[in-house]
Amino acid sequence: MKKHVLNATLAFLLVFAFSWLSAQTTNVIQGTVKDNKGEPVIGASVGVKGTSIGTVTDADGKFQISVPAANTFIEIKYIGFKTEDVEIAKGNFNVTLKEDVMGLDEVIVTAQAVKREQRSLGYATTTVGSAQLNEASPVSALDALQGKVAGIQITNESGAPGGSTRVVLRGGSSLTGDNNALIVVDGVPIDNSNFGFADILNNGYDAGNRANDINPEDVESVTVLNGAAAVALYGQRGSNGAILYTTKSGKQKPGTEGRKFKVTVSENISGQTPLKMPTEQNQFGQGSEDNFGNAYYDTRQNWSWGPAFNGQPMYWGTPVVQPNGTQLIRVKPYSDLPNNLLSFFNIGGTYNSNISIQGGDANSSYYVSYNNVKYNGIVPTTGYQRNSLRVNASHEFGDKITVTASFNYTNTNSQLPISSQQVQGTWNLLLNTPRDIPVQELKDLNNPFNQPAQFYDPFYPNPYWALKEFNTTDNVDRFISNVNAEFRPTKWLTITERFGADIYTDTREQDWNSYSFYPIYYYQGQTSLSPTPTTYIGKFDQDRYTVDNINSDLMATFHKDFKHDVGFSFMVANNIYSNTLKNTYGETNGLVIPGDYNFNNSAARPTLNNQLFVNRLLAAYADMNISYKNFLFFELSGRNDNSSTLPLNDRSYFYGGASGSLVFTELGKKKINPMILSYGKLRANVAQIGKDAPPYSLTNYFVPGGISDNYVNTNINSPYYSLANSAIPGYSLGTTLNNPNLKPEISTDEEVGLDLSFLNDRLSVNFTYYHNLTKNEILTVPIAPSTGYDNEVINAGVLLNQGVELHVNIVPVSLKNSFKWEVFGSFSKNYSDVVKVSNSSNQIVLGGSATVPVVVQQGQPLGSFYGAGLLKNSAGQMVVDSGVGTPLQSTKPEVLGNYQPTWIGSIGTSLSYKGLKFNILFGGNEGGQFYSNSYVLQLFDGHDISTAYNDRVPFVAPNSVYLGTGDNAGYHTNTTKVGAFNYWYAASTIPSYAILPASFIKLREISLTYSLPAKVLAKTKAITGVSIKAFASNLWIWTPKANTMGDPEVSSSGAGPVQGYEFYNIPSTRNFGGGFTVVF
Amino acid sequence: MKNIIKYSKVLFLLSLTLLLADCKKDKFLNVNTNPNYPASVPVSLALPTCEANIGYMVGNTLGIYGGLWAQYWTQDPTYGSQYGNFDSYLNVPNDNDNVWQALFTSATNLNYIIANADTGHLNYAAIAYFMKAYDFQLLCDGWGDVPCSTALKGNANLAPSFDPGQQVYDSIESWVYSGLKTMNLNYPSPMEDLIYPGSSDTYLGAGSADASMIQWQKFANTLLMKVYLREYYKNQARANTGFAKLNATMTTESANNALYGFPAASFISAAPTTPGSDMGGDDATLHYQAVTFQQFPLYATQVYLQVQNLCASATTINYMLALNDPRIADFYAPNPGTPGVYSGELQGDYKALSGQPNTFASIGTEVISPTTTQRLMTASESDFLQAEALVDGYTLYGVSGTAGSLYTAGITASFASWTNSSTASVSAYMMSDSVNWASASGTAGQLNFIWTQKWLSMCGNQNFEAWTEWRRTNPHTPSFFTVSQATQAAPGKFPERLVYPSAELNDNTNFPGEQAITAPVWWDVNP
Repeated sequence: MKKHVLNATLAFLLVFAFSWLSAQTTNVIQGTVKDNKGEPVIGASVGVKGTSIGTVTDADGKFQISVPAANTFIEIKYIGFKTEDVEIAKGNFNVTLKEDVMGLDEVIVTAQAVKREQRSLGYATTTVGSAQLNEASPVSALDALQGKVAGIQITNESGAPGGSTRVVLRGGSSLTGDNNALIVVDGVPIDNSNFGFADILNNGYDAGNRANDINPEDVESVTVLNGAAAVALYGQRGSNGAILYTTKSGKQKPGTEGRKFKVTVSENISGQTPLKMPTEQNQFGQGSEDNFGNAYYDTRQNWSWGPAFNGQPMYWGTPVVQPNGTQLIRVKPYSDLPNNLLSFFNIGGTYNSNISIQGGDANSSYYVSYNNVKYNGIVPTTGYQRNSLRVNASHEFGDKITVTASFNYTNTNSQLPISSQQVQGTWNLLLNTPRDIPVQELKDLNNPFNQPAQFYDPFYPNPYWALKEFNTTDNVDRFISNVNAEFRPTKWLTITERFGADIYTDTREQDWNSYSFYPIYYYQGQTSLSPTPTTYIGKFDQDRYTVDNINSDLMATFHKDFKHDVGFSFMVANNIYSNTLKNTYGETNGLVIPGDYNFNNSAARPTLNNQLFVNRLLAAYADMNISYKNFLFFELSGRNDNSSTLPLNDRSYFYGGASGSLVFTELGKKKINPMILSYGKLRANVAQIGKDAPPYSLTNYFVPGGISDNYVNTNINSPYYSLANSAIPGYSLGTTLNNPNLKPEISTDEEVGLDLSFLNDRLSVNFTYYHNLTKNEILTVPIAPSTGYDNEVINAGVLLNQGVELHVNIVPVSLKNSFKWEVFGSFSKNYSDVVKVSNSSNQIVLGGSATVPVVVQQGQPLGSFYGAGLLKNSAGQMVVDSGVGTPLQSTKPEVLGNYQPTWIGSIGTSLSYKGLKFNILFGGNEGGQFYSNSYVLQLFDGHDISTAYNDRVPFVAPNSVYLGTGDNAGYHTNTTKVGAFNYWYAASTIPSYAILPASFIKLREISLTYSLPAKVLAKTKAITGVSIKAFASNLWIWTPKANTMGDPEVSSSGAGPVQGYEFYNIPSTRNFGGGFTVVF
Repeated sequence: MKNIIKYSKVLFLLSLTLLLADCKKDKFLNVNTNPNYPASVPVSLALPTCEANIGYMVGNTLGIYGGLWAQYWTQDPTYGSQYGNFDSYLNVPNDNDNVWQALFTSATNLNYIIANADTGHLNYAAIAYFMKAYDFQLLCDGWGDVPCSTALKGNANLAPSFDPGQQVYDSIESWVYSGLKTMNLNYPSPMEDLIYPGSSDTYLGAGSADASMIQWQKFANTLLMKVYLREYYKNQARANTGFAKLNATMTTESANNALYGFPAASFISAAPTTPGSDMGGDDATLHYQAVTFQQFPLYATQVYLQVQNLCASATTINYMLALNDPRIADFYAPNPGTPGVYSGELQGDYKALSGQPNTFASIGTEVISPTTTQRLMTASESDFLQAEALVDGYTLYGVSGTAGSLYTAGITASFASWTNSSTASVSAYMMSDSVNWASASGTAGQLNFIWTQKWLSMCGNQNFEAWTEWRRTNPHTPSFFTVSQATQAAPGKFPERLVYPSAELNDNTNFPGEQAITAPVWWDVNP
């Protein structure tokens, strides 16, 4: 029956559509658009005001458009110019556009791909154009936003191409969940999952997040929507703000010289080197320290507590027995190797190649591109390759129907380094190299000295050997396709159906070889064989994620311009969203035959698991806009969601917002002198966004039995075994108590802002203040285990984010001869406060290690480091171990720091003269901390510069006391001298030592571009544009002295909520190179 | 007319929008049933995980504490310092989250079995009662006052109160009796899984069908005896009434057993018939397999860390050498490169020896191997408990032996259960004046002999119980324990408890306050 109703409806629709098509009368208008220099403007958008009818100007700036008789204005828009309205009745269609320095009247893409004038928006937006985005030839369209948007916080796992990028706007609204902004491409949200950070301590690898699949060269512009009012139409998926990518179409620039298409070829090649290496001591080498503080040489050690360097020849490693029975041993001078660690890294190479063809005619346009990225990592054997193909096409069927379709296929392949405390962790192995062991000498694995058994260190293997034997790969195949059909039955109604499918498979594999050997120890001239073998049991695992993301929006928009300059539009729409995630995981438990990576080669029963998660939404939403003249704007929006993940009777919820803007420079009859105040807008909004629960959070369930003590590989999994060795399967109740009474969470956002331009737009300022309060978040909070469960899913938590965002743009010089100097900057300060966690708990552990977890702590900003600090007396003096002199740790854990910066800023400048353009951008964070596990190791191993304190002569810890007992009770000045090893070993066990300041300043981007003059190219007849470019990103970094480790922006847990947690991460890179673009 | 058509068009469009949102709404949205995991399982699938989890904790986390604090083991000086903190008497709340959670979540699952065992599955409920008693005894012996009467109620009570230890012990006692009452010996023969736990019982299930529930009965009786002896020094009157009740119950049990052709009620008595594997006999044990994710956890930890973190403590080694105890070859592996020679590191001396090559005996492969059998309660332990009860002047139902004969039986059973010692001469060992029952003088001397031999018999495998009994015995026996060289506790003090876990400290508003590691638990009258 339902089907019949649907068919009948469609039939009616078709009939009416034809009747409309035949019922219109139109006038055809022809005209030319030029800029203020008299040059034709190519690709300007020409539309009938109040309708969706539109076209673009051709190579000569000419256009032709059919205008329904009822319409009175056409509107001409072009990025960088002020929009012109031309009254049809006046009949002059040769239009000269005026340059708009700030692009304040820019038409920008807002939520649900609705194009609106900047001035009409009651909320903050930032738009970054293609040129600005691609300034430093980025591989990631997310990373490219660094420093270009106020209020945006972008962090990388590794900074390497293909690595994950976390993008958080305004501090994030969720206490424990994903705080990444929604990524939207051409109106359709795409999946931005970031799987696989479950075990950063033992098997951390960065397979990236999926928004990095977008090719930045395909992007025409990016709009960042920070606040709830801006994204309310996206519903819960937009609750962390949204980043809207608009990809190129043939419409924008349909070729020159009369051609209907253009071909763009670009090639950028860049090199990468580690940005910041640890600051290490260069005085002491391999060895240990005895109980009396005397250093001695020990050829087995992975630490540098040995004697001071003396430059004398010294044996190192273990002897190799020759066929004739004699022993050979390597000799090297006992001296420092300052760039030892650095020498391990290759100069990375990124080859970024693009070719695109775009074109079109009056009714059609297309854009086809192919992108190939090849990255050879700084860590040998690692890298990343991306191949992406995009086809965007659009066609107008008459003047009532426009269909746009896009198709994007991306394949990425990564060979990933491991960040972990295990033997697979490259950085762990490197940091465990004594200061005088030449890493380069370990490279040749055919050299008998470098065989596993011969390796000098009985604890860890040769890093080159580990890279050869333990491989991790990631392969993603992704299809994103969108269809956007727009139907304009009357001048006051537009119906749009937008359908998007984002489907991909992400497969990770680990091939870890099995190996067993008896390590040889060489100590004080004696060789001995370890009685027990070192064994790597090996594994093959495959972790596959299949994601189906289907999104459909059907929108009807009514618009009418009334007399007395009142504009009105109303949109009603529905949204259907379905997300399916399938995960299949298999792992062998040991390999039978080394090097054979297959589940059937498992020494024991393989571990297998498959999971399915489905969540769906049905929503209806509406949006109303009223404008008066061109200075007063008001918008009201509302959305009703029905979520599959909420209780049956409570799954429908409504929320919405209101926003308004007043362009007060347009007020009144007499205009303000634009030399003083050229533009002024006040905007304000309030909005709410609701959010549902993760799937399957309502009822409890049983899980297959598994027992753990939180060490890897010590787990016991069902089945268990009886006395007679028969297998006994078992299940147990999940330890998280689910909740059948969950309610949607609601966050409330309030925002006011001011946009001002002075001196004829030479100086412009955008300022925003926001206040965001999220209540009743759906959280999994810990509960006392004595309740019988470890966690409970509840509506709890109050998170407050408030702050300011500021953009400034100054054009100090702009000369007629086209010389232009521009200075721009952004500043944002977010104050984050976890007002409340839950009634029973004031803390939720997000991740990290047991000794220093990253937590959500009541009364603190989101994301604190929690652990034991230094023991201090009430006077703040360090308390040392009585009679020993080593620092002690406090007995109560405390908040040791926080990963939220106090403020984020950027400043840049650009100079352009004719075809030459120079651009430089600095960015930095002030405040906040990060945890560095590598630093702990650097102290423990005696590698960090601070371990050379006092030249390792035993010392009394400065300003320290000890606690006396008996008659000597109370604190007394410490006079006990302590050896360097004992002191720093003790320090390395105190968690607070590992918390380092996260402030930094980076030279984000620097680029110099030269475009050949058009008249030179004109002679070629074929080439219409050539530009060459030299660029660099993250070229330089400043950090406080206390940070002797690395780039604080690097974090081990990818784009997840655990940030500022460095766990043996490969250093981030600086990137420098050059390239060219040729347009045919 | 034109307008009417126009507006009807609009209405149609709107209705289309609403139709899509409404007609298949429920079908589209009803996808929130978890396809990955079951909402309920038969009790036969819930029991094995409880048994495995509790056994794992006894052998791993609790076993490490016990191994160090019963002075069998100490931190190896050469590599790593994994257990250095524990050997320094540093126990911080974080250390105990996992084990505490495991014991309480196991209890939740045991409650599920008790609540969901229908008349055909009563024996599952009986075993669940026994295991819950065993589980809470671990909690109460480790931490003293623990949540009990208001615990395990999910979000109906998010702040369970900490009951006094005596009250917890009363609950433990009542659960054992409830289990005994619930037990149903009237099952059809041959064994039928649905009625009789049989193959889903990892501890005792693989014995013959006839014997298994009777073995659980023995387990329960022995557990009660252990409960009463633990209370003995704190509240002798309580122990007196307890033993009387136990004897009366065993009388009833015997009558009931006879109805179905089973022998009279008793304590765990039969020693294993296959040493090492513990095949045969009444011992309650948990078994492991030599493959990843099935192996003995302490062994797995060692493989994972690639480093042997534990070595022999001089306390035990020296004592065993003095007695010429053949079990030394089971409990320890000789010094590196010197077969047959055993020496122990002075307890906690790892700091002073840091970085020096290891010259000490390591832990024997019978104690830490992939397939080490974890004992939860053994015939040997039962014999020693019976001997002590007799020395204390109690009579035990069905026990005809003397304290001396039970003491000898305990040693014999211990020898029988270890590969190397099973072929050694018990009588030769018994010749020593320090072992020979005849040379024990008076009650105090006899208790000293029983306790010392029990401590030796538990070496490396029943560590937690050994440490608990050392704390309980009055005076502390063995008396020759030495304070760890690395101690961070008050001078001269030993660990007397585990500190409460951070999960309880942070999330229970009724948390009574942390206790020092040196603070005795409630039954410990001899701090």
